[in-house]
Amino acid sequence: MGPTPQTSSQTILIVEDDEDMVTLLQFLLEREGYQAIVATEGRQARTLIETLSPPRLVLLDVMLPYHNGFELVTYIRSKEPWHGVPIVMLTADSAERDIVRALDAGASDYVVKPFNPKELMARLRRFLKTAP
Amino acid sequence: MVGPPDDVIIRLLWMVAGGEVVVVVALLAGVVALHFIKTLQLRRRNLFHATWRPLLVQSLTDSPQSVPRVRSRDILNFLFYWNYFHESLLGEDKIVGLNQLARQTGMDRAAKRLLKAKGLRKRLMAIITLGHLREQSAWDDLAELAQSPHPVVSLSAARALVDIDPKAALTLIAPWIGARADWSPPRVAALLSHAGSELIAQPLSQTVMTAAPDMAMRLLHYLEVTRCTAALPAVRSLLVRESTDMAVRAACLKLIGQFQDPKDLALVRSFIADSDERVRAQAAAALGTIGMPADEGSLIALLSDWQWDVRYRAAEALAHLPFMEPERLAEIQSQQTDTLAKQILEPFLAAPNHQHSI
Repeated sequence: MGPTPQTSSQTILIVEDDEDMVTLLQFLLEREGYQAIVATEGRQARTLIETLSPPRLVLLDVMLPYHNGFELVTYIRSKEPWHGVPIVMLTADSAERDIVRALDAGASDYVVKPFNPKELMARLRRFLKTAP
Repeated sequence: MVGPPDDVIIRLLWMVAGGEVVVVVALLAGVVALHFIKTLQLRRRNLFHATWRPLLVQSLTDSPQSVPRVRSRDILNFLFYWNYFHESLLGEDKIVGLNQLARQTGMDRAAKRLLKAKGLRKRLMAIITLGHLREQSAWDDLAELAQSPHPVVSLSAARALVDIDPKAALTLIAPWIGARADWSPPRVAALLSHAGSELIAQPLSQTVMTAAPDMAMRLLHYLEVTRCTAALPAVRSLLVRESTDMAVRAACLKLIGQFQDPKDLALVRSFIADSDERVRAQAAAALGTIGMPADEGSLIALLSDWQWDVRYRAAEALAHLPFMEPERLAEIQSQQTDTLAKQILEPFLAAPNHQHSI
């Protein structure tokens, strides 16, 4: 097995299947000096989790092809050395059950879509300040 | 050299074979043309994304210095993505930035032109865009469209009016909300929630006081689902007004029960023995949410009501009274001499915390 590809301390993994949302999230993160790695479906995300060193934070959508966000949270939390990475979930409006389920599965926080970009960045900064 | 065969059958076969060749060539040409069109569409789409996605995203934070012209074939695409960003994000900053980009690119004028388009998709895109743009100059056109017989067009136009000027729009559309049975209730509720309960209280309260029973019921339902407590004074007046229809009176009591204001206890009690079974049932249900120990007796009396729904609501209310213990409920059942009263309490004794809803 080859060496684990490295992520920088400024890397954030975005797992989101909506291309336009990805563009938007990438723009918001890169503007703050972070580097975004993107997975657009669950299988791709799992491959990245298996091959990459842990990023600074994971921004994770709930509804994804192949493996949904809840499965991925559980997977990340069981996976060394990723288990301690902060995970912020993006959930659809009015899905209160999703929020509870995401937090129960081990998500650090959640943001409801549609969201305010400033609020999203403020929530992320909270974890990025404390993350190693 | 071989000449054409004389035999009729062979000549016919030649013609069939020739026809087949023509069909195959035509199909091949069609496939090639479709492939070419698809490739061209994909290239255009990629070019559009490469040009406009970064500009749309950038407009959320800074106004782009110069923007390219939106080609006429890209207008609908542009509006689609522009509206997508509007609906994916919250906050006044993004509204200002996106709206400035739309005006910079002339999309405000394009949207106004599209209001007159024949295609439904184009008209809807224009309506939604003008709402997000808060385009005051489109008010009259949108007000006209909000009265269209097409439920999607009219409701979308109503929503756009609310986006432009919520207060003026709600005064205008409140009677239509009551009258339009073809408007999707979840979308109407979303429109009202978007406007906010403070703004909807007055126009909806005013309309409900003068509305025909079916309209009043619809409006009361929307006040209930949007939890518009500011409308309670109007609902109380409607409830006690002598001329109020019984079904409307029951709907008022249902709303009062949902809002759980202890101030309404005396009012609810005054309807517990009403001659109309719908009113009695809803009064019992409301007592279940705001009732005191003193109300136990009147609810127990309703367990023997001749109407099943009243008996059920009374049993449900008794079971859900915050001070009701399972032992006390069992005791109430054992004290009943009426078989119907005993039976109606059975499911609530089996699952005292179960939320029955019929």
